[in-house]
Amino acid sequence: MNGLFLINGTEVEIDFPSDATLVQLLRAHGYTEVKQGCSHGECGSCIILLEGNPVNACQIYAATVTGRKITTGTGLSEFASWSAVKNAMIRRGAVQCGFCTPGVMASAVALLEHTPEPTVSEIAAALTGNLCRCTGYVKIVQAIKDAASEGEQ
Amino acid sequence: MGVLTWLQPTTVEELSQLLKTRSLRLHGGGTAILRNPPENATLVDLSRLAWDSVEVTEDTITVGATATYERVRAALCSQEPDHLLCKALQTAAAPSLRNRITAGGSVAFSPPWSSFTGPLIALDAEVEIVGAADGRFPVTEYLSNHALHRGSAIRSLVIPRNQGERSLYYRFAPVSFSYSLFSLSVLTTDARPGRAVIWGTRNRYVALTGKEFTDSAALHSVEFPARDGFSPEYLKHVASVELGRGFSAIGGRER
Repeated sequence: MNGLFLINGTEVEIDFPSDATLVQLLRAHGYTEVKQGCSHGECGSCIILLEGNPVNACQIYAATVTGRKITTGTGLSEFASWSAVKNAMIRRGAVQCGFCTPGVMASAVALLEHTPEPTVSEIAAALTGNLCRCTGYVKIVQAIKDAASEGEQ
Repeated sequence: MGVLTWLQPTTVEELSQLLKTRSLRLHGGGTAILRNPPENATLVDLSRLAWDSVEVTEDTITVGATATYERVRAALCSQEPDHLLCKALQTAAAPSLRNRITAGGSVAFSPPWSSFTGPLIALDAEVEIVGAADGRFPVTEYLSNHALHRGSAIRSLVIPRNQGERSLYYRFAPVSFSYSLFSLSVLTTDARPGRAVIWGTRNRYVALTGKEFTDSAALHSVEFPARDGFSPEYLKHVASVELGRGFSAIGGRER
């Protein structure tokens, strides 16, 4: 089947299998920053923003989101908090293997859009759908807290 | 890979026609369907029906079938942070799943780990259905009467509001982000003695009313399935302890 997708601000017409999930469609068309992990909505490595809200791309049939605004890791720069989050993640060493990072960044940016000054528990709650097997989360949470503080200034 | 045929009605009339004429599966947010992806099926995507509103009035809370958990949580918790449904949805799934799981889909599927259906039963909620079975029915009736499912779709959930609601929600899960093994919804109101709904028992759920709380044996006949390494006896013990704590915490009279 065929559909028009709005990905990272660009309209893209794509032919895709009728049973393709959004993560399959995105990766097949070059958006490989969207990682495919568990495929059950549990690990969060495929988290992208749909109309600005974090969702698991593996839990969405591509056919149901034609015409809707999709933002992958490479499109997050359109959000005001992106630069602060990116810099804080680097500064804090919050990236190790990097597989979870695009999903974590999407969750972090979405959180700061809605809650510019989150508490540590709000950050932890926002990241409950993102599994990271390297960092232990401490540095990620610190980085998001730093990014929020930077946004206040 | 199978071939799926997608239908995307935009009006109730279109949907009603489809429900009459075809054998099909309804798609809300997709999280339930994708647990066991169908092949060579016809799916009706409900997301274009504009059924995603959440209205909170003095008497009722009306939740559109395609409103996501997160939409319900955001709308309800900003106005009614102590509402039972708010407490339940705060702990339900991760934000990325809450942004896809729909209210209607959740009730239609009602899995053992549901954080939604137990509170709805405790709150005496009703489902509004369109299609072959047109009308409003208690959630409990919808769950037990499969004739209400065939050729019909949930359009909304209607939750009555009561004076003096006091509630508690508890979910038991090995870790916070995993599926709950059972949940407990406890509610008392000014007009009614306490009620507790244990969701995730062997028979799906058990509803206990105030009178049963005076009987310490009320839970003896409730059976839990063994799940995720936890024995039925252990789960029953935890449920019993949390039930007692729940009633004490909200000032219930019955225990």
